[in-house]
Amino acid sequence: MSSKQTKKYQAPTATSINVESSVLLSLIRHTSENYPSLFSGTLLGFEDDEGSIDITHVYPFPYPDQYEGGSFRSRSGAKYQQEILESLKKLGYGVEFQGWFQSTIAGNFITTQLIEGLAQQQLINKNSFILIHNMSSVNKEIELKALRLSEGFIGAYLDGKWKSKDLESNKISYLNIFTELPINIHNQNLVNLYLSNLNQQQDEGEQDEFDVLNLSSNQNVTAQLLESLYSQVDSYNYDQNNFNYFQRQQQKEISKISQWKQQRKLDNLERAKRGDPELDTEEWKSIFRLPSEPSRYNNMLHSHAIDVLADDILKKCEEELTKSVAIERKLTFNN
Amino acid sequence: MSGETSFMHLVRPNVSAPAASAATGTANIKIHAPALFQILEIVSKQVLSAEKRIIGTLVGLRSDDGLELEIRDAFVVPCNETGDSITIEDSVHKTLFQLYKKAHPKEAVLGWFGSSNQIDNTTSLIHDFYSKGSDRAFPHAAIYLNVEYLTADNQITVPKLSTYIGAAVGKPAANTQIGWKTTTVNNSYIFTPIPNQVVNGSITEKIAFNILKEKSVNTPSTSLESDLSYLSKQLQVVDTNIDNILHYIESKGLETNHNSDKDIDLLRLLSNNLLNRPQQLSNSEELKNLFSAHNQDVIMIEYLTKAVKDQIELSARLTASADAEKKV
Repeated sequence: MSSKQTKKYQAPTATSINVESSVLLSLIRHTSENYPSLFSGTLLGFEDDEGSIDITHVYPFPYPDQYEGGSFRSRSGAKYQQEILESLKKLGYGVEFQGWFQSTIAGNFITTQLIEGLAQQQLINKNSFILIHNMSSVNKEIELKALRLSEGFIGAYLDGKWKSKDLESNKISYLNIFTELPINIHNQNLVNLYLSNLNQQQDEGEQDEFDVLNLSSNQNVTAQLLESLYSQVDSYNYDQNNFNYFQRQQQKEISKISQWKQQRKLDNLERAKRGDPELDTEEWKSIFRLPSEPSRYNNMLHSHAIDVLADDILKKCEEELTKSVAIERKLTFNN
Repeated sequence: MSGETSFMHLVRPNVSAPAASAATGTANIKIHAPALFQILEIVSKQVLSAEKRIIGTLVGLRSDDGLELEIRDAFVVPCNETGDSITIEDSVHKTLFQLYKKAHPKEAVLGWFGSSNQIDNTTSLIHDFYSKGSDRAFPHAAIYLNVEYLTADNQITVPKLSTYIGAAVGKPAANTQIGWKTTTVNNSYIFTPIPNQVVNGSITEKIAFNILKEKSVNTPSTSLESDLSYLSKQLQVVDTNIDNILHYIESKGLETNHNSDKDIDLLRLLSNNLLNRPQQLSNSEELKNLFSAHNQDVIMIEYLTKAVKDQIELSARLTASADAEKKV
């Protein structure tokens, strides 16, 4: 293991994320304008004394991501991030790098690259986190989540073996890889003033947007979600096959061992009758070797991705059914 | 926001901005909400003192004819004002713009923003900086966005946005001193007000903006829980629109003289929309079949997805319990 991983991990202290309203809007604009390309970027800000992280600036990385988390550890991404930070520091802003944002579709963001990048970052700064913008219902609603790898996950990550018993001792399963942090939106006073003024002079220059009222289902997204689900299930099965192979091997060995134990017991009974000294009953340990368990790491990531994807698909289906039934009633009742 | 009609559009092309629109068409500025909020945030950090000016660069898109401007982002550029002269930290402007340009290759410098109460000599000096040289608005005419948030007696008020296009007039005065440098500056600019509006790009942004508008005002922090308020608001708008049309038609029916061209166009539009509805809508049986097929598809997807989800959970549990058994 490298020296970095022997570093002592500290439990995070910040428990919520404060996002400046301009950051929220910039982030959403960048990700939704560039949809379906995926983008990630840097979140800059500072930790306040009340246990939350204030994000005051957001800078997207120059290039779209091939896959989620691709820019986190890339040299160009890190360099860009550093340059931005330096020029802001020159301006006298007391901001530090706090985390990344990443646009994604449902559970697809759970890639080894993203996890690896986030884990390394959390070892350096215990409070780092990632903002995930789920684009699966883009233009319908905003799904923004602040996530951080759970303490148990980091514990297992530091062990680096990912055996079943490691998972158990760190109390993690695919359901608690991440801990979610609450996001709060914060307005500067002038922004407040501007917005409240807008509320007073309502309907002036307001743009109506009827696209949200469009009832036709976006089948592209559902198809895309299902495709992602297939491919995750495929990868999951591939990994599961390895594990099943291991289980069969283990079963075989275990039955061999019990046979051997049985045999030895009988032998010992014989020998006892003849008055010979007993043979060692623990000798099997040097004769048989149990196969070593493969890493459960990928299994866990795929499981979590499938879980999130399934949740999103179920949500879409529910929406679709509600809409469909409502329209059907309306149309067929009248005729 | 002022009504668009109250503007007189006078854009004067001149030597310092050769690519400025030759047509005396109407210029219009769209300010994207994220950029506006950024500007407001920068301005609200300003120290309340008369000498310190906060200015910054506006970046965004410009249409081919140079008449449609979209302010998409802004960043602060430090400057120092001493008496009649001003020094702008060019290097900061350059680095920040170059960094921004990497992520947004299509965007360019449009001009600058400030927060003063009046247009004075210094305004012209800053405008001159943004009108010339590389990485600035040149060869287009620079725009100037002013956020007025102080009243005459230094009380904070609702920020008022005004936008101007500056055009140089007269012969450049030779050898004026700016800071330490002696260069030729033209500090006679005419600032022509042009209309602006605050816009949101995608629908997602509009939803976010709506949440901010409805919920975040005067609360220390807001969570980002989306509800159906935006949706229902839009539905109400549609409702009132339909009511308006009905009302209009009914009121027209009472009048005797009702064949003006406008009314006929309206009727044509309405009847065309009715004719455009698919044939299937009138076939009740087929419609029912289609709907039930569709619903069954959806339910099937739901069922299978649920099965996958449960399988995954089962598998995880079985692995864990198998492991526990082994230990026994």
